[in-house]
Amino acid sequence: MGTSDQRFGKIKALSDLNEAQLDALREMSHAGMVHATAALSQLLGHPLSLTVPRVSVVPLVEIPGQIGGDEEWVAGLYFKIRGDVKGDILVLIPWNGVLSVIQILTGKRTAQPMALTEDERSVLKELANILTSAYLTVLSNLLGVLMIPSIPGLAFDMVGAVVDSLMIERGQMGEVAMVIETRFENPANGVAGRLIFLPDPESLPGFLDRLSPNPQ
Amino acid sequence: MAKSPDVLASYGVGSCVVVALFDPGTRLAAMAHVMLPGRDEEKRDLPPAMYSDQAIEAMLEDLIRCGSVRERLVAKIAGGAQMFISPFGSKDHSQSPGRRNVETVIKKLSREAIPLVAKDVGKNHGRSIEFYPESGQMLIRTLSEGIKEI
Repeated sequence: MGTSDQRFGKIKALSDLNEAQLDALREMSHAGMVHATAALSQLLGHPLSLTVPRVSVVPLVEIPGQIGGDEEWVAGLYFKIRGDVKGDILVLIPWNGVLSVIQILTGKRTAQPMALTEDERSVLKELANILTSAYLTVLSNLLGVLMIPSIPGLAFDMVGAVVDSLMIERGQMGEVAMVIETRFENPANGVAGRLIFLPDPESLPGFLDRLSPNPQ
Repeated sequence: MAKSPDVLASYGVGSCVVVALFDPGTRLAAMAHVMLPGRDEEKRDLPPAMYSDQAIEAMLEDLIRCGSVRERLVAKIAGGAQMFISPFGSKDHSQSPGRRNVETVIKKLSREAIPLVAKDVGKNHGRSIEFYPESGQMLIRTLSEGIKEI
């Protein structure tokens, strides 16, 4: 086993990953989402289909633009990751997705964006919990590292404000993130969401080291 | 920087702080969206405009170069929300990055002897901010509390 430095040169950010390493991450992320879909289907008692997630590495600042602009309403669910690999995960669900989640999981139509009930907030947290835990479980198993999510913090607000708070929390502006776009559907409804994964810079070499098979 | 009738705007501000400096005489205004307290506190190498101290100094310089009178300048600030309750519950609210940003901005303004005439800071919601050099008004739009003016 070489050190991560020997193998990858000076990888400091996700943006330094090569295509093969990105593919490995994509594959794992896909496996994670399949696991999450299974968990959700079980919870609901009926099957859900999963659209193959798109995994990309993009600067954090570009994420609001992808979602429809800084003022677009989203539910942002924020997890701190502890363990061998530390970092943050932010799950973003646009407003129409929030409506669908609540409809799918509770069978009820929700009223107003700013009047989400405690139960409806719990449903959103639970969904994000399942996504994040399933994703981290698969990653942990495949990479042999421990990653444990905190309980989620929920903000329902403008996506620009949610993302800017994450940047400040991390104290980094130019950072790139791994963005996993995913979509769950039952026959009546679909929910598109994004899971944004930001490993801490200190954890990144160890994480990437395990990502790629030894070239020898 | 803008002169009446232009408008300065910053959309979707969370724990960042928006600082507007305004000269009612010339109706010149400058606005900055600052992300971090002073450069010494955070040892990161980022563009100066991201730091409150540097951003305020740069705005002062620009405004005065364009004919503003320093003694006439006033400031309005908004932002510095804490969007998420810390998932680990360990961080007390007084230590939130938004709060620290606000405190640093206020300290810098007072060191520069610029009166802070209005502020809308803290809480747990994002803001969209527009500043009108024509009137010196700052309009703040939020999801939960509608539009307000300071």
